[in-house]
Amino acid sequence: MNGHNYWTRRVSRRQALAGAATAGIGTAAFAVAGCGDDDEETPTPTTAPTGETPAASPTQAEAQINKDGILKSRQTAPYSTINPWKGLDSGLLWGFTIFDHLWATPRDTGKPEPFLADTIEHADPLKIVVTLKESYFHDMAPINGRLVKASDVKASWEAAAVQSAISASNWWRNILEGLDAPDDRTVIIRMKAVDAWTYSSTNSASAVVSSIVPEEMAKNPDSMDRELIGSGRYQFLSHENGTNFKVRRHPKWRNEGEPYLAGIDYRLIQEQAQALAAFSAKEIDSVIPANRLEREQLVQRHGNEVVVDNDVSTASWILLGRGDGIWADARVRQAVGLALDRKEFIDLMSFGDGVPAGPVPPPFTAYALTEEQMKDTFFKHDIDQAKALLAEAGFDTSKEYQLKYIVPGDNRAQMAQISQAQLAKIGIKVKLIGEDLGTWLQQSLYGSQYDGFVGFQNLAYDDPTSYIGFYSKEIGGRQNWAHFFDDELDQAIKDQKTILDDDLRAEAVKDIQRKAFAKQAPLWFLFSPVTQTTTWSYVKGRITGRGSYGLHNGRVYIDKS
Amino acid sequence: MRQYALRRLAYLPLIAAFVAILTFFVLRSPWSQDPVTLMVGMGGSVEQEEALREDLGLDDPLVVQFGRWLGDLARLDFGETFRGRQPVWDEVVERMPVTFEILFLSVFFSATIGITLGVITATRQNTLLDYAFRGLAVFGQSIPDFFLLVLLIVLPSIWWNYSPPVGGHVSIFQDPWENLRLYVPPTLLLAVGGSAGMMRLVRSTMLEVMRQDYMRTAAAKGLPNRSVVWSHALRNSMIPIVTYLGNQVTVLFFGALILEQIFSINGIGQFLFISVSTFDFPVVQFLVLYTALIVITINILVDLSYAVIDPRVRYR
Amino acid sequence: MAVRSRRLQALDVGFLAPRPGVMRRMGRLARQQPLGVFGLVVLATFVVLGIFGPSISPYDPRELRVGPPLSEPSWDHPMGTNSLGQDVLSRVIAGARISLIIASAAIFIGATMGSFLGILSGYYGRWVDYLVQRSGEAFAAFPGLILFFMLRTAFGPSVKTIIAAIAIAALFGGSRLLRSATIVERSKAYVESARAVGCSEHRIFIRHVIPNVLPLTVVLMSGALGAAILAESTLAFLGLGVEPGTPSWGIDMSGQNLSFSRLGYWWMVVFPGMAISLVVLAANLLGDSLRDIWDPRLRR
Repeated sequence: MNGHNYWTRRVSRRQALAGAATAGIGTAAFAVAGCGDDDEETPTPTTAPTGETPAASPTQAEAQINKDGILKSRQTAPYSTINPWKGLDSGLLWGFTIFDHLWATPRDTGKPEPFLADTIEHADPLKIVVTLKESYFHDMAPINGRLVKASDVKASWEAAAVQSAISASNWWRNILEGLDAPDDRTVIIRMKAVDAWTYSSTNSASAVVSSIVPEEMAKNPDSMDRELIGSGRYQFLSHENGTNFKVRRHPKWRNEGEPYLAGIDYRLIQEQAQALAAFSAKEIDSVIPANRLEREQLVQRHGNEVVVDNDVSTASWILLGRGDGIWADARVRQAVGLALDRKEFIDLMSFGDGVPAGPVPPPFTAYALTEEQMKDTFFKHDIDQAKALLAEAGFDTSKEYQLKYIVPGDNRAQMAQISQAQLAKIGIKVKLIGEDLGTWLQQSLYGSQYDGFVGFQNLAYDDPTSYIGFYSKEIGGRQNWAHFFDDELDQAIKDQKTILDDDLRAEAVKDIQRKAFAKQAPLWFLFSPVTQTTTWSYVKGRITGRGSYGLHNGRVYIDKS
Repeated sequence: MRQYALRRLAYLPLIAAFVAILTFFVLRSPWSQDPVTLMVGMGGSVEQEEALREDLGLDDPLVVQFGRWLGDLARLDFGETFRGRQPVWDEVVERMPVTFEILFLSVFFSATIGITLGVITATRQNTLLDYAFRGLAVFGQSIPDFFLLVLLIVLPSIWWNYSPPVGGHVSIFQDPWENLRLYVPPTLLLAVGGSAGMMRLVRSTMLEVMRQDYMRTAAAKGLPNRSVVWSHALRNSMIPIVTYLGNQVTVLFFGALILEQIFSINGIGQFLFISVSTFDFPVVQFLVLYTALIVITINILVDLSYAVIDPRVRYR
Repeated sequence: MAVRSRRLQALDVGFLAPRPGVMRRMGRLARQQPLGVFGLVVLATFVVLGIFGPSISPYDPRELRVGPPLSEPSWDHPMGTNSLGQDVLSRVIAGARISLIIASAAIFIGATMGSFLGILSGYYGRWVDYLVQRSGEAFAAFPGLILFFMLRTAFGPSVKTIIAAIAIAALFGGSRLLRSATIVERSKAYVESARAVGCSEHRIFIRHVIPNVLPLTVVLMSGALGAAILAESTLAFLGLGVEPGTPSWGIDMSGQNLSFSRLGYWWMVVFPGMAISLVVLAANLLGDSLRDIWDPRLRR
């Protein structure tokens, strides 16, 4: 709607770094169904190493740490259910708080950090042998705090993989063959094929799908409609119709002395401005301002009692063109790329808080090309050259093309308008057509029914399928949306999945990007917004730049002295 | 009268059936939107969608789906929500108290303020007070209710740097004070339009009633003015008032929806809104049916009340 | 009007006979109904704004950054600018257009169809009446917004859906009103006498009853116009309106503008809100006056 449509916010993937829950109807759907105007970051499960956090020296600081604090967080929309396997929003939130996992993968290194896993042996590419640390479930009936066993892991993973409501990735459905639990402490993960991205956060490190649930409950998923029992840092206390959750410290959490927080309270505040007001009144401990103006107002009001963290989001804005018809000529596509002025997008849409993005979102430093490297390729902005190319290709500048974008959403409309203006400068006339999500997704995008362009914001994960996959000939079982079919790129994308060596694989991904530019693929990544979470300075121990794992690291505490 | 009531009630299932069928087919028709693609989202594959579609029973022919739904209804099983696979009935019941409270408060304020002002302006016809209130009334009926609610939020933030409390629902049984603090300001505003209309209605009806002969008789009899106005004039104006109130309940249901949006209240209006946006068919089907039944029942009750209020009204 | 028409019936003219001084009669009416005139004038102003909007507005309502974003009302921007740097005054003027177009189209369609149905139902009675009444009840069981939701789910959000929904809502209210008026009219003396004289039912219906009852449609329309504008802006506010690029009052009061307004930037939401209130007020006043003129008995 109009910008801040309350309903889109409801289905948005907003997540306040301070642990507010993400509300969404599909992880992959987050970008699409997301709020129009707030480019808030994504529920990318990034991680901070847990017990091994390079924190301040333990002993002395420990003595002064207040371990009674309750963190007050914001929830942006009611959850449809608390069952983590029936609602993605719940799945994510509980994944970070109530449940434990074998490992998690931070987005900058791409290498898994062990959590519950004690040793990980992956000699055979199709088999991972894991031993478990000693850990206990929450002391709630009927589980009553028993030891976490390998059979629990097996039951959880096998059950979660087939839950249609949480849309587990291809790895879970087609690569994972099964798990074995030869004894209480050993788990064997068997796979059907080699997938180099096994440890990525959409696959085995998924905060939602890989959550470890008691065996009895895994075999009876409906039981989680009413109660939640995990082995994570916090245990579930209460909720009101999918809102206002309360969780409290798990006394037998496997890291002794943690978590420092006594608990977390989530409060439902749907309206952004109300959230800002609640933050100022210290009713919630952190908030994500939707843009620079809001942030500056907060800073102005509270000075250095608040801390602002800048985080580059992984949700980039994308302009997708076509690869057929008049667009089959690579010169035309190149012209479009040259016409785009990313700086203008950043200035107008984000008040300057943004970073130009290439095919791989900037936070994934291991795989992304640097700005320096893309300066003369992806990011080149040259109107004259663009016009020359169009003339050379004999482009008909009298025809009007379509740019379809999703409504409602202020930012989406804005992106469309700016694109229209920029394309007009080189002579491409564009007509803006706003469509509701359903029509846009099903007909325009999937059905490739757009004579020109579509614009959207894409939420990306470390597994490049979520962005580089756009260059494939087939996307999710459907023909490439832009009707851009390139065998070489397609094969390269399939190949990189099998390269187990991390460095070689990273190089392969970078190569794909260079190739994509050489072939002028009709996919123009614009920029990634920077989200700034503003937190009261009395919340200490957060690790910034790592998303939810940065907050849920067990060492956050409240110091109001 | 009993026969009349029974006859009207007999229509209930017919209309319910009509509503149910219409809603069902409109939602699930092939040219309507597909909830599955939206649920799976952009990164999803056709395979995932097929799995989900099968899970939700959306891949069967329409008639089969309808039959299944009817069968479930007969067992009073209202299905599961698409979004969280929770029983629809439970979800609605959980949210009922809040919405009912909002509705009740709004209608209550609407009625009391409207009737009181109506009586006052009727008895003080053509005085300055009368003109003032009538002016305000016309104005009150013209302001959109969402504007009022927005003002409720904007003005305090400008004048006093204060924002009305949001989120967090406190049951009236637990903490009446807090509960009222949360709900009274917005419901008062919602009631503005309703009380304006009510005031004008009461005023005009009473003016007509007061012109009647029996009113002069009452006054001539020496009855105290209070009694004349309240027990005689007002009582005789009840029929249009009750009609209007009946109408208000429906109108205010959607006022409540807007209120729930703006103030983050997790009520039925909000639930309906989200469900419609996410194409959560079972919920929409249920709520449409439910609302329709309520509306019809209220209409019937209102009509029946005429007979109770006014003994001259007879139903064949 | 009733008096005049009877005179006309006697002459069996069927169209307007010359009457003394139209202007003088209008003048008299105007003095009797000052509020109605006020309403008419305001409404007409908005219509003019709607039609000539693009030429009169100081800036292009959709253009970004015509002024510093979120700036207070000033000489340059009498109503300030919003977060995208758009001029609020221009958007308010432009909003008039879309609101009025949708509302009038919806009301026109709804009221004419409703009147038609109502007249048919009232005049011919029996099964026609029964059918229309029952379906009216059935649809009345669909509270407006739900009906809109369903239409929207089925046909997607578009201007047509909105117009259709509002029209349907107006339809049944109108039909009931016209129905009762027709029933009253058809039992009047002149109809009897016309029948006695030998006029066919058909002719009575078309040449006598309809012209007497149709003015009521106008009254109906003006009364419903206010409600239609409210409905349209509420839908826009909720995000169910026309696409956000189009400036609309409802949309301008929601989303980011609303968010910012809580931080103290009030002008972006208050001015459109006032515009809506003003137009609806004008429509209501006009409707009330017309109702007074047509039939004082209907005065509320």
